[in-house]
Amino acid sequence: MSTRSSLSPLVAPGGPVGRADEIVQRITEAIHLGLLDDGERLPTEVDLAAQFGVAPMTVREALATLRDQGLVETRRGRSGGSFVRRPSGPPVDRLKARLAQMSASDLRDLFDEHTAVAGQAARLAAERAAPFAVRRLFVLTDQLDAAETLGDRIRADSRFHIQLAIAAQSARLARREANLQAEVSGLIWLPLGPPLDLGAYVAEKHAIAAAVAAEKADEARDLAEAHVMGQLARLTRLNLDLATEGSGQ
Amino acid sequence: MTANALAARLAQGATDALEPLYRVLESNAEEIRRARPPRSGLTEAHFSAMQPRFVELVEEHSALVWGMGFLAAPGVVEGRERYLAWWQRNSGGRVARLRLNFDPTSVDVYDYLQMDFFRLAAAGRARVAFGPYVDYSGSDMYTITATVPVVADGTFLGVAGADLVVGEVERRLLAVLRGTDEETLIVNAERRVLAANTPRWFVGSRLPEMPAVGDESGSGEFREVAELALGTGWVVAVATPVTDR
Repeated sequence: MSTRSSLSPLVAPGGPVGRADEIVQRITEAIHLGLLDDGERLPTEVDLAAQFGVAPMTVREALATLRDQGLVETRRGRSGGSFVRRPSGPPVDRLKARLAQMSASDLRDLFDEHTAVAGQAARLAAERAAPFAVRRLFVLTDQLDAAETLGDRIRADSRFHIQLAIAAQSARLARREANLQAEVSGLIWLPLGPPLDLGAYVAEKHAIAAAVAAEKADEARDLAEAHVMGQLARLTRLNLDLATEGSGQ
Repeated sequence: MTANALAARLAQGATDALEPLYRVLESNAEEIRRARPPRSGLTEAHFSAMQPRFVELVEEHSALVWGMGFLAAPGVVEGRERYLAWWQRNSGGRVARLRLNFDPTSVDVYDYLQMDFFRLAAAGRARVAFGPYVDYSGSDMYTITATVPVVADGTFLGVAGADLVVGEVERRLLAVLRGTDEETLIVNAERRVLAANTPRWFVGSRLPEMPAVGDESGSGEFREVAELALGTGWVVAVATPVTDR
C-alpha cells in the first residue's frame, strides 16, 4: 500500500528545520516534485509542527508564505484545511537565481553527491530489485519521454531516481535521493542555456533500467554515474554564463 | 531425528508468529462479505460503518501493523474503478482514514490494481505477503503488505489487507530462529531474506537461487529446507555448517 500523502521523504533525513523559510523551501520542493499532489490536504498545523520539530507558530508563518505564493489554499469549516495548489510549471526565475548564486565548485559537489547516491542505488537495485520495481523504472522512463509539460518531465525524472533507490530496498537512499532531486532536478530542466538532448537522456535512463532488469550490478552503477555526471558540463556552462550576466560583463 | 526436523520445527514456529495476523484479515474479509446486501452492491456507507472496528484493530495491533483495510476490485463499490477503505496510524499515533488520488494519468499514481498484493489474491491465492518493499511515501518506509481475497458467491470483491512493520516481523521471526545454534534464515518467494540468525546473509538482500537441499554428499549450501504452513511461500532454510562443506 502506498499512501502517497506524506512529507516523510523530505522531512525525515535532514533533522529538525528551525526557520519558517526552511519549511517553505521543503514544502515548495515537495509540491514541484509531485511528492504532494495537487488538491491534497496538508496535515494540520499541529501535526506539521510535530513532523518538522518546530513550534506551531513557525508552521503558521510558513503556511502564510505558501498562501501568498499561491502554492497552498486554506479553506475554513468542517471539510477545511490547507490544500496544495500545484502550479503547471517549475519556478524558473527562482531556479535561475539559485543556479546563478552557486559557485562552480558548489555545483560540482552537488553532482558528486548525486553520482554517489545514484550509482550505489543502481548497483543495489540490480542485485535486489523485485519485478514490480523494475517494471516501474520502465514506466517512468516512458513517462519521461512522453511528458508534455516541463512539470511532468521533472516529476518523471525525479521519480525514476527515487524509484532506483526504492528498487534497491533502501529507505535511507530513497530519502537521500528525494532530497537530492529537490535540489537538482529543477536545475537540470531549466529551459535556459545549451538545450538538453532529450532523446539521449531518455535512452540513458532506459539503459540503466535494462541493466537493473538484467541484474548487471556493475554496468547499472557505471551507467547511472555517467548519466548523472553527463549533465554537469551543460549546467556549469549555464552557471558561468549566469554569473557573467550577474556581474554586468 | 528425521531428515528435515529442525527446519520443520522452525517453520512451524514462524507460522505461529504470524498466523494470528492472517486470522484477523480473514475475519475482516468475512465482515465485508456479511455487510454485502444480497441484491445490491457495497457502498461507502457500509465501510464508514466499519470505521470503529478497523480503528480498534489498528490500535490493538499497533506494534505489528501500520494500517489495515479493504481495496476493492473494479466496479464492486458504487461502480467505481478503484475504491479503498483503509485506516492507518499517522505520525501523531492517531488512526485515521486514508484518502488517495486515483488519477491514472498522473505520474505520481501508484495503482493498487497493478500490485502483486492485489493481483495474486485476485488470481486465487488464499494468502499473500508482498515485500518487504520501500513504500517511500507511506507512514513507514519499509513495509510488507499482507492480503487475503474477499470472495462472495464466487465473485472476487477485493482484498482485506494490512501494512506490516518490517522491523517487528523480523523480530518475531528472529525470536524463532534464535531457538537454534545452526545458521538459519527465512526467505520469501522472491528469494529475499526476511530474517537470519547470522551475518552470513543480510535482510533485504536476495539469494542467487531459492534454497534447496544439496545432494547426499552434503556439499550444498543448505541441509534442510521447509516451507511455512502460513501460505505465503516463505521458506526456512538451515545452512550446512561451513566446516562440513
